[in-house]
Amino acid sequence: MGTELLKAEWIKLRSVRSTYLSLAAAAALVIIVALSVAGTTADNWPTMSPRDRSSFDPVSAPLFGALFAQLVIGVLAVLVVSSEYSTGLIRTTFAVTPQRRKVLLAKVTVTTALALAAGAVILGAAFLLSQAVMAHGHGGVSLGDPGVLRAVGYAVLYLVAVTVLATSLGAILRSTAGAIAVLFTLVFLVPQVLDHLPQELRHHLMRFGLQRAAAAAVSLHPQADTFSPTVSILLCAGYAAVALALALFLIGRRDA
Amino acid sequence: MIEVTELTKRFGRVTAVDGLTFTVRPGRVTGFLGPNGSGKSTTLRAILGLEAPDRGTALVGGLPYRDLRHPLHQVGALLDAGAVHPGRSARAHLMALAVAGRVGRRRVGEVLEQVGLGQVADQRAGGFSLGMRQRLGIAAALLGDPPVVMFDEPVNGLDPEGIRWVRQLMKSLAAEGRTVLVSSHLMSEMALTADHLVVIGRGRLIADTGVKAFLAEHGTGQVQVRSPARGSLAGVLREHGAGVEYQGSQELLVTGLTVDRIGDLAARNGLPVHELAARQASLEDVFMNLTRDSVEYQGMCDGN
Ligand SMILES: Nc1ncnc2c1ncn2[C@@H]1O[C@H](COP(=O)(O)OP(=O)(O)OP(=O)(O)O)[C@@H](O)[C@H]1O
Ligand SMILES: [Mg+2]
Repeated sequence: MGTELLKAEWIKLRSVRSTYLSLAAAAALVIIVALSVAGTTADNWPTMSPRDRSSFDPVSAPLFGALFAQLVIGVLAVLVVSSEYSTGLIRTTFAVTPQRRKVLLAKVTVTTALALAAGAVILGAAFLLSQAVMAHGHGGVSLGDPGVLRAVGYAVLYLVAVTVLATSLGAILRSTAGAIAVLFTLVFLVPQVLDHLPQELRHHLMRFGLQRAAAAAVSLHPQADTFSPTVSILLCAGYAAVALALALFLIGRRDA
Repeated sequence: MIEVTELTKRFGRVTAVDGLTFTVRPGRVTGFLGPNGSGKSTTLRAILGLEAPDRGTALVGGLPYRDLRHPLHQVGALLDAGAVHPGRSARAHLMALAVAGRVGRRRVGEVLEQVGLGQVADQRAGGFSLGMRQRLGIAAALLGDPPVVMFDEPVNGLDPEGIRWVRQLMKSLAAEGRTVLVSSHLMSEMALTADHLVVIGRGRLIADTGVKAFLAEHGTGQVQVRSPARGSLAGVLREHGAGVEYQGSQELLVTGLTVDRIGDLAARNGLPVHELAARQASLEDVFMNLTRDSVEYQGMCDGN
């Protein structure tokens, strides 16, 4: 892939206000949730039962806000492609670069790089802030503790997977509303449906839900009916890879 | 040069372009004319490789568009003035295209000045009027200084000054030896801008000819005469085989006789003539006549 396509997509991304607004919204959501969860935990820690203490997850509990941030970043990623279809700009883009797969790969690369950087900064800051707050009342951990770096890292990687998924959905569906609807369905609705299956099926299938896999990837404690953290994050990457492959397959075959 | 050969494009049951063949040559403005829905935009998109034809080919400079090495340097196109992210500035929009198309960033400032958007280059395109967006679209088409340019309805939304500007631009691009294809559904506009016409209806070729030849072939050869004695004059002209129609309070519309012959007959009969002019059928009329069938047929289909 020529670097000129990456540069062009980067110009597009940084020249619209919605990019900055999305990142700011994601940062605010994650940090506010992290601080409030950490504050509450620090206050309650002295009176918490040993059982509550041991079941408390000092990484994923404060990073709960990432649940919403992934949607904000996901919508941003959808728009990177879908807004070009809705305005007709995609025709100009493809006229300038008839190699459509390269265009899509450039879009995915640039958007994902931004999500990776923003995710690392936002989630890293939220982690450090929440641990600083919880350190006063105990219950906090540090990046050096077993599994902690992995959990925070997987939280960032999950955000990256959602970004690839969302960008691909934008290209597959070519419509903002459609792509966002499918993204929300995959992230929230499918896990809900799986959760309501008969016990036996639920037991086998729940772990395949995107949100469930994300929770398992970021959790410090092993959870029932889930894959291991590493298999879970690979599963999330698998969803993204399948969507990207489908988008790459379709983009050259349809009229723009 | 653009060569379209036997091009056919269907959308489901609609045949938007139907076995269309024409060539657009450099050095002149070629008007691409057809009523609404006749397949002009579809043809332009097919030339740009944006949609795959069901049959036939479209070549630019002898190559299918997808095989062009740096298309922005070879072909500039304005398809749709609305095709801009409303939140992006004109400059950033062009900058992204320039970088992707391997055009020097300096060209961005140049084309912005050329189309008269220099002052508003850093404003969000969402706030632009339709006319400003047309100019931005034209700027994008000129970015790579291409030998071939295509404009889909470029005067839509422009004020008279803007229309004159586009007309001048098309002519000067052609005068520089470029291949210029301009689509329109307005015959009158093309009469002023184009040297050559490709007329289509329902996706089929109706005419591929020079503007003057087009008029000569399809003109009705009417002569307009103004005379205070038009009753007597009409009698004389009818005796010599002319068709005469009364118009207004003093005018006659004469067919079947030349201007010279009418003047001579009036003089020989001592009848005063205040005005005597050959009247070309307007291009608009010719166009309407030529494309009427296709429009009507379309109307019937839509009604079903
Ligand atoms: N993407 C599409 N899907 C389905 N039908 C289409 C599509 N694009 C064009 N058509 C149909 O093909 C025909 C030709 O449309 P096209 O837009 O090429 O005409 P046009 O000459 O550019 O018209 P106008 O003067 O209104 O711009 C129309 O009947 C239109 O409805
Ligand atoms: Mg059109």
